[in-house]
Amino acid sequence: MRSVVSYLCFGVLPALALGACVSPSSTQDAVAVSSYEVDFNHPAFNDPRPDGFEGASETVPPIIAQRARDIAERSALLRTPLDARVVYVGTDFLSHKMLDEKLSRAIYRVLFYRYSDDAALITDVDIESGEILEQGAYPGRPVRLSEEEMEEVRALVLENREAQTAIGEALSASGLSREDVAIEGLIVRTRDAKDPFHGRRIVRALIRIDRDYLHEPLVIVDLTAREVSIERARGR
Amino acid sequence: MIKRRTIVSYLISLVAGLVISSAAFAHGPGCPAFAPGQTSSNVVEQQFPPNGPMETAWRVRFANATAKGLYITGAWFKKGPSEPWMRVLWDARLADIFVPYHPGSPRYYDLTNFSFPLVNATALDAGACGNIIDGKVIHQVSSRGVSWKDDTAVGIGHELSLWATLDSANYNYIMRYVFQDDGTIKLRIGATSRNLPYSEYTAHMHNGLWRIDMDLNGFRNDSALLYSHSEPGIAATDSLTPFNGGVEGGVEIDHEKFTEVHVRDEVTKNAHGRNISYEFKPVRFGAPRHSEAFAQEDFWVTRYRYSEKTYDVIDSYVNGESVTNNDVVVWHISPLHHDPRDEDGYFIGNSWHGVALVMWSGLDLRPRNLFDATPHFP
Ligand SMILES: [Cu+2]
Repeated sequence: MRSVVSYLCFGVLPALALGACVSPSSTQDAVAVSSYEVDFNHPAFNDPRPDGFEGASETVPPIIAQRARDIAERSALLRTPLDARVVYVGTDFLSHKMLDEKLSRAIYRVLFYRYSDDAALITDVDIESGEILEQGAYPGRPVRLSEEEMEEVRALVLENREAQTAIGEALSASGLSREDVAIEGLIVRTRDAKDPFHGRRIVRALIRIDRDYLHEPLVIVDLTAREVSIERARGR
Repeated sequence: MIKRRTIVSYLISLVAGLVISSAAFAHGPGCPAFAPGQTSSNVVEQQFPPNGPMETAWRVRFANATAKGLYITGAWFKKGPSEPWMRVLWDARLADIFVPYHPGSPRYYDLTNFSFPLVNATALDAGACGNIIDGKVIHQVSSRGVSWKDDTAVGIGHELSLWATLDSANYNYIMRYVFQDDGTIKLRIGATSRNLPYSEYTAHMHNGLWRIDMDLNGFRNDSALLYSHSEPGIAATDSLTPFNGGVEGGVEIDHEKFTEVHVRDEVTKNAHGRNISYEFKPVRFGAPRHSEAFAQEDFWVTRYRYSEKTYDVIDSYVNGESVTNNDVVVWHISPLHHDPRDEDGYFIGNSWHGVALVMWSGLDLRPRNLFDATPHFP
C-alpha cells in the first residue's frame, strides 16, 4: 500500500508532484508546485484515499486501523503499565492538504482514552513511514466510547434490578421479546469541577424497546468506578 | 510497487458511474436530469440548467464516516461553459454537534463523543427524482423555484443536494449540503426524532459546529474579512475590513451590523477587475452564549492546520497567525433552540410516543464578484 504522495512521486504523475517529492514527510506548512492542469479523470484526484476504503466511506478499514494503532502504541505515552486503564477507542482518517490543493496524503488519528485523568490520548500517524506526526494527552477533551466500554455499559445496565423490572414490564405490556431490547449510551461530560461527574467516564443509558424508549428508570453508568446508579423520577 | 486499487477501482467506479448516470435519466417525467450525475463512488457532478445547454456546473466530492456523518471533501464550480473548473471548498463539515440541556447537564458532543453511524437511506428519502449512493447518501437535483423576476420574465433556479441522516441514539440529525446553479452553497443541519428519555420536556439546544475550509481558486492567497453595516443616523454605510485586524480570532454576530465573514481571493479577479469572494451568511435564530469558550463567538477564523479539527478547543488554535493572504478556515456555530411541545410526542405508559419535527439551521455561502454578470440571465 502506498500513499497518494508516494504514488505521485514515483508513479504515474511524477512531473505534477515534483514539489512534494522533495520532502514527502514535511509538515502541514509544505507548499509545493504552484498550479497545473488538473486531470479530473485521474483516480488519485477523484479519490485521495489510500487503498482499502469502500464507496464514499472514510471509516478506516480494520487492517489500516490496526497498523495505525501499532505505530501509536510504540510511543512512550502509550507504553503504559498493564494496570493503567487505557482503552483503544478507534482510528480516524484525516485528509492532509499538502500538494497545492489537488491531492491529500493519508494521515490517521489514533484515539485512546485514559481513565486516571479523563484524558484523550491523540496520536497522528503516517502509516507509510511509520512516523508519529503529533501526539498529546488532553484531559477533558471529548472522546467516544470504545466498543468494549459500550459492551460494559450494556452488561451493567442489564444486571441492574430496576432496569430489569422496567424492561420486563414493558415487554409484557407490549408483547415484544428480549430481541427487541437495545441499550444505548450517551456520554455525559461537564466542565464544572464541582459537578460529581467531573473528570469521570459517565454514561447515561437509554433503554429502547423496538422503536420506543423507556422514560424510567434513568440509569447512570460510572465506568470509572464501574458502578450503576438510578436517578429518581422528578415527575413529568 | 504499483498501487493496485487505483486502475481496477477506477474502471469499476467508471462503469458504476455510467450505470448510475444512465439510471438517473430513467427517472419519471418532470425530474431534472442528473447531468452527468455520479462520476465515481464519491464524486457527483451537475450541470445547470439540468435539462439544457450547460451554463454553470458543480463537481462535488463527499465522504461519510462513523462518528462524522456526511461531509464535503472538495467542491469545484464552473461559472460558464468555457470556464475552467475552479476550486471553492477543500472541506466543509459539521466538526461537532453540541447539545447542552437547560439545567446545565447533560451537555452532549454528538459527533466527537460518540460512534454514531449514518442511517440507511430508503426510497422514500430519495423521492421519485433522487438517487441513493453508498446506501446512505441521498443525491437529488431539483428546482429551487424563482431565481429572479423581471416583470413577466422569470428565471427558475436549480440545485444539487447531498444529504444523509445521523442516528444519534434517540435523536436524528440531517446533514444537508446544497449547491445552487448560481454558485451559492447552503450548509444545513436538521434536528429531529425522539426527545431525550427521562428528559422529554427539558429544553435544550442543538448547535451545529461548522468547520468550513474554503479554498477559493486554490488554497493560497485567501483573506478573511469582516463585513459590517452601520446606521448611526439617516445615512448608512457598509464596511469590509480585515477580520480581527488580519489575525486569527472570533467575532459575535450583531444583527444591527448584519455581521458576515467574507473569504476573498487576493489574486483572482473577475472581468471587472474585482477580486472574487464568498459571503458567509448565518441562517439561524438567536445567539447561543453557552459557558464554553468556543461558544463565546459566532464566527472564528483560523489559519489552516491539518491537525486543527476540534471545535471544542478552538480557542487554543487562536494564536496570532495571519488570516490575510493565507490559507484560512472559517468556523461557525448555528443553534437550534428546542423547547419541547406536545407536537413532539406524549407518554403511553412508561414509553414516549412521537417525534420532534425537524428544525433547521446553518449558513449560506454566497458568491460576490465571482461572476462577471447575473448568472443564468439571458
Ligand atoms: Cu431537541
